Order: sequence, then structure tokens, then C-alpha cells
Amino acid sequence: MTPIFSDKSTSAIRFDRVCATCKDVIAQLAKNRKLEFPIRLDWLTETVSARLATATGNFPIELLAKDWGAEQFTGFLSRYHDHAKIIYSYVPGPNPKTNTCWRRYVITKELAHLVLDTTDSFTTDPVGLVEGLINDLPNIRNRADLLSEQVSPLAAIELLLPWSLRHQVYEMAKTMSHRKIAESCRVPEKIVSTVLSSEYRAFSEFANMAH
Amino acid sequence: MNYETSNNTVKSTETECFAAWHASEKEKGLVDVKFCTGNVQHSTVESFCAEVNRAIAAKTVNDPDIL
Repeated sequence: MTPIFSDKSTSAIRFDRVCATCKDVIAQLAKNRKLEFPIRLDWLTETVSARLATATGNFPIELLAKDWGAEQFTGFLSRYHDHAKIIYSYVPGPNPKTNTCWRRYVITKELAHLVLDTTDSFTTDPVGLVEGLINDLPNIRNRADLLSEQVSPLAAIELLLPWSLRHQVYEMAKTMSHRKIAESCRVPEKIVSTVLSSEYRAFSEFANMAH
Repeated sequence: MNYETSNNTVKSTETECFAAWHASEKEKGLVDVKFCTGNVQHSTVESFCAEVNRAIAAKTVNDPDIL
């Protein structure tokens, strides 16, 4: 697999490859399931799991809701050779920090790592990664794991509002508020607004049409 | 929080505990960790690692509405 985050010749994130991978995941999901909004997380997880399964075994992915008083992070992926766990924040009862749409986004962001990351972008120095995440400094050392963290939100958007259904979002926007679209697609309103922004539309069209 | 490693070395800081957890899990096949960050404006490595340790130790809860 071609590394997305460690292209030494350009030291740039290949957004077109990110979008191509997301399109491929969605196409794989659509082979077995009906593709419609909201994108079902169990089907997405099943598809990612199938991509990572090997001839010798399955690759189970556990989604673990936990209430640890989340503030500094809301999701945590731990990937093993033959399985993965995604811990995400869930406070039972109404809580705007972890409403369903945001939880779905957090999980999808971590699922994106499972399909995008190669061994080059695996985190070997977790404390160093934490330093990179909390320090608002440029990634001057071009750490591939940190680059992956920076681009995975984009992949989550491309998986939850996939390119192949994007025309539906554009159509909905003609008559519906961003909030209504968000409720319909079960994604954070902020993501709907992002996708409908002229900047993102141009960027996404360019990246998705590249492959 | 204390974390006793396999060679019985007690780790006392949260950062050391997280690093020890990571080393221990690597022996079980862990190859990668990633995070979805929240509000890290006032975070330190120690405070972030403390939260990671809490998340690891927390019990799972039922989330009926996620799919």
C-alpha cells in the first residue's frame, strides 16, 4: 500500500489518496449494503474490519463506550496486530459534548486511521504524539503519526458524507438548514457546514476527481 | 495512579504509567495508538496522560444509540 503520510519526496499529505481510500471503503460497503444516509457505523466498522482481515484471520474492531470525564480527548484508538479497540466518550443522558452525532464522528475518525495508516504512520512514541497534539506548534519534524492525526478528521467527513452521496447533501441544502441536514445524516452540524463551504467543495471536488 | 510493570517497577507519574501501559501492550501486539483530541488549550503531557489512564481504566457503558 502506498504510504499517505510519509511521502518523503514531497513531505506533503496526499489528500487525493485520502479521498480515494475513503471512496474505496464506501464502494466496498455499498457492495453488500444499501448506501444511504445516515451511514450506519456497524456497516462501516464491518467494512473496515473486512479490509483488514487476512487469509489467516479476522480483524475484530471493538467500539467501547466509556465515561471517564472526557475533556482533553474524546476518542482513543489502540490497534493491535490482529484486532483494534476504539474507546470513545459517552456520558449517559443529554450532554452536548458527546451527543450521538459527535460520537459517530469520533468513532469514524478512529476507523479512518485503520484504513489510512501504514506502518510508517503508526505511533511508536506515544508520549511524543501527546506532546505534538497538545502543543499548538507546526509539525516541523514532519512526524507521520501527527500528520495522520491532522488529516483523519477529513477522512471522517469523507466517510460520513461520502462523495458518492454528496449530491444529496447539496440538494438538501437548497431547502434545509444545516442543522436539519446534520440530523438527517446524523453528523455534527459543524461538519455539514464545512462540507457545504465553497472552500471545502472546491477542495473535495478536486481531491475526489483526481482518481 | 500507580502502575506496576511486569518487572515490578512502580511508575508514579501519569506519563510514566501511560508509557508503561504502552510498553506492556506492545508485548501483546499493540502497534499503534491515536487520539481524537478535545480541549487541549490548558493541557500538559501529564494531564493528558492522566486522562488516558482514566479512560483505559474506566468500565464500558452501554451506548444504545450509536449505530
